[in-house]
Amino acid sequence: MLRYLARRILQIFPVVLLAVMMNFLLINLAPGDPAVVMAGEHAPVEYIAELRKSYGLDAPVLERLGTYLVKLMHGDLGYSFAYRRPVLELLLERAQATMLLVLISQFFSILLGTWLGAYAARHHNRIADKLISYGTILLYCMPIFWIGMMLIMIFAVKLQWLPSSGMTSFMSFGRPRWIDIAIHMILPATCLFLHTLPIYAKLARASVLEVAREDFITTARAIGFSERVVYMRHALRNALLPTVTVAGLSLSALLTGALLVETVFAWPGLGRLMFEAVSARDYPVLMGGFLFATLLVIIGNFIVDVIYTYLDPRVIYS
Amino acid sequence: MRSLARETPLILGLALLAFMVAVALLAPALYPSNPLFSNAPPMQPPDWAYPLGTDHTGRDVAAMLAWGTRVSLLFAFGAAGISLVCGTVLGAISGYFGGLVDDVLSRLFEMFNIVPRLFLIILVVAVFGSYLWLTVAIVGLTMWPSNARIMRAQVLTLKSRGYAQAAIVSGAGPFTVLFSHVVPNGIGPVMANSMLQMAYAVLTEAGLAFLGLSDPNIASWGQVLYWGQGFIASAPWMIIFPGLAIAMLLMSFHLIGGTLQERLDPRQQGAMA
Amino acid sequence: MSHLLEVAGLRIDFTTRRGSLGAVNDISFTLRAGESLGLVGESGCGKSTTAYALMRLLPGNGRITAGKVLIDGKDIVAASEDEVRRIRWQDIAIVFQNAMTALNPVRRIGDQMVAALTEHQPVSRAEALDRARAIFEKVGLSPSRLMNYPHEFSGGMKQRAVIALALMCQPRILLADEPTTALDVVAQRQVLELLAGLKAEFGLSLILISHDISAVAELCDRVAVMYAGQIAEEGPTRETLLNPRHPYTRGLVASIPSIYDEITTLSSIEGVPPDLVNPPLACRFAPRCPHAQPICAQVPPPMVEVAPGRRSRCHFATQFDVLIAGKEIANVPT
Ligand SMILES: Nc1ncnc2c1ncn2[C@@H]1O[C@H](COP(=O)(O)OP(=O)(O)OP(=O)(O)O)[C@@H](O)[C@H]1O
Ligand SMILES: [Mg+2]
Repeated sequence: MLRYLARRILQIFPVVLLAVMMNFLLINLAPGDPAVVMAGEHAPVEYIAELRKSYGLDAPVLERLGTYLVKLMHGDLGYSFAYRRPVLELLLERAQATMLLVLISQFFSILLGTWLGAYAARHHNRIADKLISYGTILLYCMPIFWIGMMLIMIFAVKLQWLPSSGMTSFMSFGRPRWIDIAIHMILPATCLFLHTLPIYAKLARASVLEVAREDFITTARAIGFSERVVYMRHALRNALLPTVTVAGLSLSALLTGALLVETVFAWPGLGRLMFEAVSARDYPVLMGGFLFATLLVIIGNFIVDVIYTYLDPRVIYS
Repeated sequence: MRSLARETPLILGLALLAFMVAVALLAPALYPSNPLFSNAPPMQPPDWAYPLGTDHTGRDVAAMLAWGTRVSLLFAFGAAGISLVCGTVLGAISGYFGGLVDDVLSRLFEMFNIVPRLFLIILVVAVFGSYLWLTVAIVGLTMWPSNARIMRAQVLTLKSRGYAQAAIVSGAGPFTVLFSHVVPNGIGPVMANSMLQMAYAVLTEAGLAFLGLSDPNIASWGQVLYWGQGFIASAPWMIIFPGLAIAMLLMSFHLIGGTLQERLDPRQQGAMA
Repeated sequence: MSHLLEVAGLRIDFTTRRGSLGAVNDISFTLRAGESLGLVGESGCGKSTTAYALMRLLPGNGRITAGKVLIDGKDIVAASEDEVRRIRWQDIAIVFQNAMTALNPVRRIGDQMVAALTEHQPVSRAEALDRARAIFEKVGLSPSRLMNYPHEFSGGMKQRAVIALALMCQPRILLADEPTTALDVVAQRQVLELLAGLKAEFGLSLILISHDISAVAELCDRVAVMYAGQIAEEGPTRETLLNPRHPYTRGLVASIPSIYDEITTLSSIEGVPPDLVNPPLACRFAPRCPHAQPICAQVPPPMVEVAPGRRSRCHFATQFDVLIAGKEIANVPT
């Protein structure tokens, strides 16, 4: 396991380097002064001058890249003048809200999506299957931020049941804080949930159909298990393997979804931060956010791999 | 009768796409003036004169959406086209030549897959500016790895087939064999994937516009949604219709792509698009 | 004496793109408690399909279109889904044709065995594990391997594990569908010996499907020779194989090299089995039969009892010696 860990870290390295190089390339290819790109448009003139000196922006490209890498290694992602705070601090703080939203919505999405897909597979080519199949495609075709706005239109504007934005209220009416957050989270989490639901449903359907053709499913039937047990306990467990793989592969798509959802619902996470940084032309935050998101995906992939070993005893890491 | 029912998804998909293309082509005839000029009363709910209503500055939503169809289709075909060319060429080379080339390219495919695309696109567009063609190119250039992976797998299985071997024996150069014998036979799955990429490109355009990162001088579906954000309560038609337009176009790509995939993999009968 | 298993007039059709495929057509046989029956015949003659039907396990496009399957007097064909589920594994269990893929790859073998028992009997997990251990020992596997995953077993071990799984609920009838095909020669012998031992020890009623006629000859009291979805001939193993009353049985036996006698002429049956979507209307074997007479292409032969407990589906079953001797047949049946 240790050897495997070491190898994984070696594999991670090039991806991070690629993301860093892209950042560096952007700074240097951007029209105008690279120092401004590094500092953001709100930075005072003195800071830009200082930056130019500390990064040696007049030095040759390779030397500049070296300085840049060293700074990154020390966790220095720059300073945001729009927020007057170091970028890393900002990102770490905002990442919490994103994680909360993503984890909760994905928990339900994977659970229900997989169940729906397995149910459709069990009733292959019958009414339930058709309904689930077409319903999920339809859902899949709706832009996530549009779903968000429709949710706001219905539940916040028309019915006035739920708040449409933010994470907490100014006036909590004596509610405990976590309840306040939970109430605020219902709409954005539902939105992200609806966005990924069809992915898991479609995947589970396809892989359960695939597994259902296998011999050990016939064995399970022969033993006398009920159809429900055959599908939900025997086929599904095996069909989960591709779901886990895809969940890992689609982490970056998930972050994309989170970015847009947070924008719609003003949820104070990474995505909302990116949106605000776009309007403020706060380039250090945009670049830091990109690097940070890359790291999140890599870590997520790693966790998914560990889950995979647990689900499939045939996988041996050597 | 039964075969017609089987073709329903494809027919529906093609009809939707044809409708969208027709709207894009007819937009200048239907709405000759610039759709971004205000010449109507603001905040009009849908009626006979303005079937999709007007926005807060008195612009006709129908006109903006009709012109926006052109932007969406440009993204669909432009970005997916760039991705198709890059992915096919790089994937084919990687699969055909193997060895070090394959190793390097394969790593590259993997790495590009991990990098969160929209974050990168936002960064690039924010730094360089929201020029239409630049955005199309960037979206295309971030999508190619999945095409490359599919093409690589195709080439790996096809290069040992009879016709490829026959071409090699008859003295054709490696690139001739690859691009006139192997690639044309293996392009099917890449085309199916391209339909999904078109859908993704349209979504990305809408997402960028929604984040305020599209050219403000061009009417696009995402742009209308972006403007409509502040009027969810007072002008819901500014939000409902552009979203439906996006969903319709995406639906057409998914229906066509799904049918293609199904044809290529006969085991997946009745699979979802 | 009543029969443990009674199959009468069984017909199974598959819906295919080319039309309805009659995989099994009017099959009848019986099995007494403790008796063993061999099912032999060329590939595609319907052996597995018959076995699956006995447990009502046909794939989605297959249907039992006629006949009865009585297990202990209860008709499986007409039973409800719940009734069938109770009969499975308790009264009748099966060892599938492909042991390599018959076990769930992501669950421990012991867990799979325990789940099978607790599904049918009100026993605790500990009791079920005890039973699994005992059975593992019976089939020649070390109980310490109970918590292994299938991929950690060799082919022969997997085959034993699959047999162990089938014995978990102590079924009265065991169907073994080519239990040795995927194994090497040594392992094949071991598994056959294992089956013979189990049969004696538990008084199992066994239906053994095999291409290996010598295995059937060794293990089975009776044999049914199948051809193109029908039973061509059925009877006590020794008599039937030594003194066939159907040209197909004769051809089949002749195509097996005997390890005892020095047989010099090794003949195999020419031609291929008929298309089951459009089978021959009269005798199904007639197109390949070296002794075919005009009537064979015109009238379907009935199943006739040629001796007590011996049946054959040949027009000339009662004058078989005359037929194969190539002599003039005295009274041609009409
Ligand atoms: N699911 C199915 N759909 C259509 N036809 C089928 C199906 N399963 C079996 N058949 C057909 O039914 C006939 C009997 O098949 P079966 O598997 O019972 O043969 P078998 O005697 O067990 O052969 P083998 O010795 O190769 O296992 C064959 O002609 C086969 O093509
Ligand atoms: Mg078989």
